[in-house]
This record gives sequence, C-alpha cells and structure tokens, in this order.
Amino acid sequence: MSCRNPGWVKNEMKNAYSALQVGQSLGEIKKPMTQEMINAYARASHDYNPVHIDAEFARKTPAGGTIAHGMLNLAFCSQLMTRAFGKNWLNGGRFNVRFKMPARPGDDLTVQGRIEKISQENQQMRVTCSVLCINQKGETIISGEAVVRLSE
Amino acid sequence: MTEQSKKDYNQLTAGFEFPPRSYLLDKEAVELYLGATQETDSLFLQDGLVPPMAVTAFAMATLVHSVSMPSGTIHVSQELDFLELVRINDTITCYAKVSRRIERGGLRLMNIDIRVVNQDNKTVLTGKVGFVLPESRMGEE
Repeated sequence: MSCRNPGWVKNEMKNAYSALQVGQSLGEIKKPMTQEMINAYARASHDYNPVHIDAEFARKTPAGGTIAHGMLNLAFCSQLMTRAFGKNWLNGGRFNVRFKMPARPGDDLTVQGRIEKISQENQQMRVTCSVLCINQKGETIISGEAVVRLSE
Repeated sequence: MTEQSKKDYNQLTAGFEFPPRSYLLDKEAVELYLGATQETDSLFLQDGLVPPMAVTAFAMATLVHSVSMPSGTIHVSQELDFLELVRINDTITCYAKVSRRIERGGLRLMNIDIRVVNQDNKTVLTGKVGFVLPESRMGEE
C-alpha cells in the first residue's frame, strides 16, 4: 500500500480550516487487491460468502470468479477520509456511494478524493468531497460522495 | 446460524426486521480488521478508536448471518452516517430492517436500513444498503 500526501489536510486543519479550498485533492491511496486480503477481510468481518473466498464456487456464479467485499473497497475510501480529516471523519462523517463493479484479486486499486464544496452549517464547516475507487484499467469500482463536519 | 436455518431472501418484505446481533469490539477483533484492511492510522493503533467501517462490517454481518442471498445479488449502494466515536472494548448491537422492496424491469431492488448502538444504547452509526437481486426462478414466490 502506498499513500501520497497522507494527513496533509489534517495537519493544516489544526490551525487553519480556512486553508481548505474547493478543488483540492485529498491525495490518493493505492491498494493491490489479493485473495489473501479478501480472505483476511472475511475473517475480520465474519462475512464468509463463498463468492468472496471459494474460487470454484465463484467461477459458477455471474461474478465468474472471486470478488472482494464491497465493504473492503469502501474501507479504503474511508482510510483516505481518515487520513485527510482525522477524528472528524470518525465522528460526523457521511458516505453516499455506489458500487459500480467488483474488485478482483490481482486488481490494483487507487482511491482518490477531492473537495467539491465547503459550507457552514450550525457554526461548523461542512466539507463535501467526491470519492473514487478505480482499478488499474481506470474502471470505476466505487464512486460517490463523502461529507465531513469539521469541529476540532 | 447454519445455511439451512437462514431465511430465504424471498421471505424478506418491507418491514422485516433482522434478528439483532451484538459484538464485543475487543482489541483482537479490531486488530484483525486493521490487518485485513491494512489500516495503520495512529487513531486506531494508539488512541484505541475503532474504524467506522469496522462497525459497518459488523452491521453487514448481521444481514449475512440471517439471510441466504442468491448468487447474483449485487450490493449497489451504501449510505452511512458515522455519528459517534467507537472505542476498543465497546459492545455494539446491530439492527437491520428491510425498508423497501420493489421490482422493476425484471430486477428486484431491496433497501435495508441499518442502525448500530453502543453499550449505552447511543446510536453510533446509521445507514442504508441497496441490493439488486436476481430475477426469481420458476416456482419462487
């Protein structure tokens, strides 16, 4: 896994929320998807659906092979938001996303985010970001919106 | 719950409430999640907080444990609101309810509302999950 610009927004926010600007990138996170990672996520999440972990079963399904849990892919998007906004994301974050296609073992995923809107709400700064998870072909795995209210 | 004792998804109609499930988010469970997702932020490793997507994972497990979904089911959308910090050793209870089920052009769409509370009965997470279910086979429903 690699991460560019981890935490830069968080660090800047400590002193100056106003430094945030519409159009700013939140950096990116890269994750190579492996079957081992999917298996580990199945154990951690208690989701043992065979379409994720049983290659023979999965081959006979419409998926045509094992696929990663959608929540695993979304966890990477959440990591990007955590690195950018810290505790504010954990306590006041909001996702609204669509799963466009599954990620498969062997895929190289890239998660990106960008600030789309900044507004004030009840004396808090509300930052709306676009989030995107794509594979190595540039195909969209997840797209959607993440909103965070900044209070600390 | 065994596969045999799970509810068939055809039995899920709007208003159906999944049996709630509780989980102790002990250090071992959280570290397992952090390892699986390769999450290394110090908020979790040093400050003892639980990633909100780990809480979400357990909420989703509530669905998986209760219902046998057909192959071809697609998880198409997810809304989540992270309302409170969750800490290691918190006990969460996950509730889920079918909010909508419609058929459109041969596809069945199902929305499920989820809610997670902590040991103080404080809501820490809410969400909506959207599934597309495959067309029913002959003899179903």
